[in-house]
Amino acid sequence: MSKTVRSAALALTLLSSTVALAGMQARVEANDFRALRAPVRTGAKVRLHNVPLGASQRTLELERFDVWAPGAEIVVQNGDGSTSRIQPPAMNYFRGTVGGDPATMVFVAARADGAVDGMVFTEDARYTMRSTSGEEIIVDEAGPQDISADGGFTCELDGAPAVKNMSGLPKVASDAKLAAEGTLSGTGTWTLNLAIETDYELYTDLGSSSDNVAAFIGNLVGAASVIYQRDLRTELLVSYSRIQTSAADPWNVVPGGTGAWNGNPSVTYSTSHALAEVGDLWANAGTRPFNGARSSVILVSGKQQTAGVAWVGTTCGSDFACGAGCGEVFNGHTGGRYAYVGLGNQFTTSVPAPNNTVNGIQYGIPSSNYWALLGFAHELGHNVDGPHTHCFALSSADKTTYNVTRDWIDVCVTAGGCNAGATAVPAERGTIMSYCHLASGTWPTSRFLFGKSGETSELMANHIKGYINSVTPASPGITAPASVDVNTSANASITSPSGSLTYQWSITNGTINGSSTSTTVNFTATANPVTLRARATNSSGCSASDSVNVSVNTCGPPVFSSYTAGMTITLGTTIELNAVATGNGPITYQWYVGTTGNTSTPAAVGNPINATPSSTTYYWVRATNSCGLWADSPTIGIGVVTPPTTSTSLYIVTPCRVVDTRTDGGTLASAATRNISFTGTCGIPSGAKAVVANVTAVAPSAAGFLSIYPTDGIWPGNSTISYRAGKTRANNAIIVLASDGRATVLNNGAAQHFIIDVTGYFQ
Amino acid sequence: MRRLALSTILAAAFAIPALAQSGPYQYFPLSPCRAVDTRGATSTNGGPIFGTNSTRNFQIRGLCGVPSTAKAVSLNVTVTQATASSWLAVWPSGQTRPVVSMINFEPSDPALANGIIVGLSTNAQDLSVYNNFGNVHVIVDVTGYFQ
Repeated sequence: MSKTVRSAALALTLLSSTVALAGMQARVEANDFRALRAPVRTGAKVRLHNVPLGASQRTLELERFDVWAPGAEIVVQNGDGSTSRIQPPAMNYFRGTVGGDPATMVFVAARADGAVDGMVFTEDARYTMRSTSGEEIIVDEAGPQDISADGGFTCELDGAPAVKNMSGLPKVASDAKLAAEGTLSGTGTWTLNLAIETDYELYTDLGSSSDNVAAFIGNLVGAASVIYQRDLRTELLVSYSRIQTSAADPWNVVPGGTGAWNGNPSVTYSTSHALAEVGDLWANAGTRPFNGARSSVILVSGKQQTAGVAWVGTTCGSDFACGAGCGEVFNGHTGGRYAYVGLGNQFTTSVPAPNNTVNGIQYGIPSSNYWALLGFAHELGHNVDGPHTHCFALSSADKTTYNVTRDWIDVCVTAGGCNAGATAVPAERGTIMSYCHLASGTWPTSRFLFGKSGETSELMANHIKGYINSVTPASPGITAPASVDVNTSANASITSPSGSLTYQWSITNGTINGSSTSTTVNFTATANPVTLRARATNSSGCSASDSVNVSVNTCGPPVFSSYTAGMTITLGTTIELNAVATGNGPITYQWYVGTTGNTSTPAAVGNPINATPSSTTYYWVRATNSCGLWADSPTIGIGVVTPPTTSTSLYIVTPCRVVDTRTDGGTLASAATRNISFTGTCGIPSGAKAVVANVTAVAPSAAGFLSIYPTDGIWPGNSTISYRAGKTRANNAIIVLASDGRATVLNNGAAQHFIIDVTGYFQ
Repeated sequence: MRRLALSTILAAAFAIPALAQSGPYQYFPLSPCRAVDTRGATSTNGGPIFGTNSTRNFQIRGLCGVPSTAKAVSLNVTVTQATASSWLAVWPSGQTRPVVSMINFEPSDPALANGIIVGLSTNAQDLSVYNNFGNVHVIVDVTGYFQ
């Protein structure tokens, strides 16, 4: 049974202010869980207050992280052999702790429509968080009896492959891997890019919805990633996932069922047969569905058995062909970076996982399905060389070094395997890699962790980190300036780049300008400090990342947000010159006459200022902030026109065609000009100053405009008629003539014909 | 731009009759000159873009060689980036918008222009432009004035 706490404190408080604050900020304080669905950026910290855990209100310290790799592919396999793609779920994923306690674990997935799925593990209790309405959060405390009702989870590894199994791992003379973590720099992490296969049974378990399966995979891998990041400094990303929507999926082995194998017409299948099927499909270039980077391939199955199996110490490695040495099941099949996680029973017993539905999409909730999370994290743990905790022990020398007295981390075993000791749950309880959940007792018999500082299990976490370190690229190293100015671009680079690796940069408190995958990156800081992170990935999809903090001098030069545009005025007019610059205030404005940078003719100080130029004059302004840094505006040109002193009168003529390029002169090319003489034709006398005209653009092939202006000047930037493809159009215009009676037609768009008719003139 | 005394504004607001005739006027040609472009930064004769059922007042006198004594101007009005089928009305500012239109356009038009001769008010912002529907940028080139 579970008890439900409905939190009024979390609902409907501070909605507008909190969400507005969230923006794309790097740090958010919130009393309202809806802050989690605001568009905070990856790496942003969110502190969620007043979350009811049991009888107390606790604060969750959260950080947004990624679950889906950039460009992740989610392929939906249909029954007719066709495939389609869907986008990764629109989730914000968060990881964190309860009040900063490193022994706790929090995972929350929040969707923009208000759906929330979260899990909280403390030493003594576990909670689920969900919101079906999007307006309140429901926190359930799971009772201790839930775990036994689920039936537990078994791993077949102990009894199966003789190659790459436990037997070679424990009791090594001295575990060199224990010291290997030191090669990763202080803020670095590793990344594993996973390919996740699923089967038709999982699809039907999750309501026959591809979106549900994608949501489930995202939350399952995300929750596991929280544990891996906390204990192993390893981030899990999904680079590929495939969803089977037809019973004709490629997975024929049903563990517990019978079928043909290795020439034997009827064998009882185990999870090892299913694992062999995964390896065989992915080893064959003809059936392998994805050739991109993949550290491990994991089949998450909904078939009716709650068990898994995995190869040990194979992540990031190559396939290997099995012979008799792999054991009877694998003889003639393929081994490698593969794992099988069977979850079938999890969806049919007392804890149906997807119990939230929002906007038609169910939540695949590892939070109420602990065995899904344990099984997934456990089998992937084997791939990264993790032994069972009841199979891991040290040499006597190491036991002295690490102050360990037990032979094994735990003795939670039911039968057989490398340690046939008594079934007992140690005081510290089990780990992700233990069998303690199979021993008698109630939750929590297992803790969802790989190792804990100061305890024996920490040695296993170090061992796994040593393995991951040995198969991932070296820490890339970042060369960056110690400090930069805000809003000013700077460069950083990979210290020792390698041509066999690909690089991916990311940044907080700044932007990356241009490519984020080169060995050198150009960035602009927007706040202090900037964190630059670079991830180096090898061809197996295994990565190591490094990060540096760059301090930012936040007193950067002012930035102009607006300034008066250039214009043409009438002689005698007083204009207002205005500029707005932002930055560390107060900002002072010094105006100058001349072109930008020429300080020889200072004009007024202040903003705005008035100016009454008597002839065409150029201005610019220098904005200086409180730190003495300045920025210069572009040159602002003010043209001055003296109105004509002589007036003209209108004279009417019989409508008359001055020019028709179809019969006179041919098409006018784009960007070309043609001078047209108006006087002496159509009754327009010499000395006419302007004509009343109708201008036609004939059947243009593309959009553009014609501009007509006096021939004795340069193009003044005007437009007389705009045209579009295929449309013949006319426009009224008064065409001003040069003193010789001519006007120039400028075409900008496509070569075309034009016509000018006149109905009068001014003189 | 130019500053106006309050009394001038009030006079302009109340003194103009619904229908007015004036003239005759003489034409003074000016080399074509751009006076308004709403694609530019926000200012009297710059941005922002016109919205639905919106009127903006622009300053023409004092720019491009048009003197403060001008009574009318000849313009070329161009519209671009229209988001809906719409039309513009242009009239001297400070009076109720007359039932007129000077250009009709479609969102499929990259740009479209028409010429007009229109009177100016004595306001600092002497010319009014109205857009009926959707968003559209307006560009006004001056080709002369009448007084």
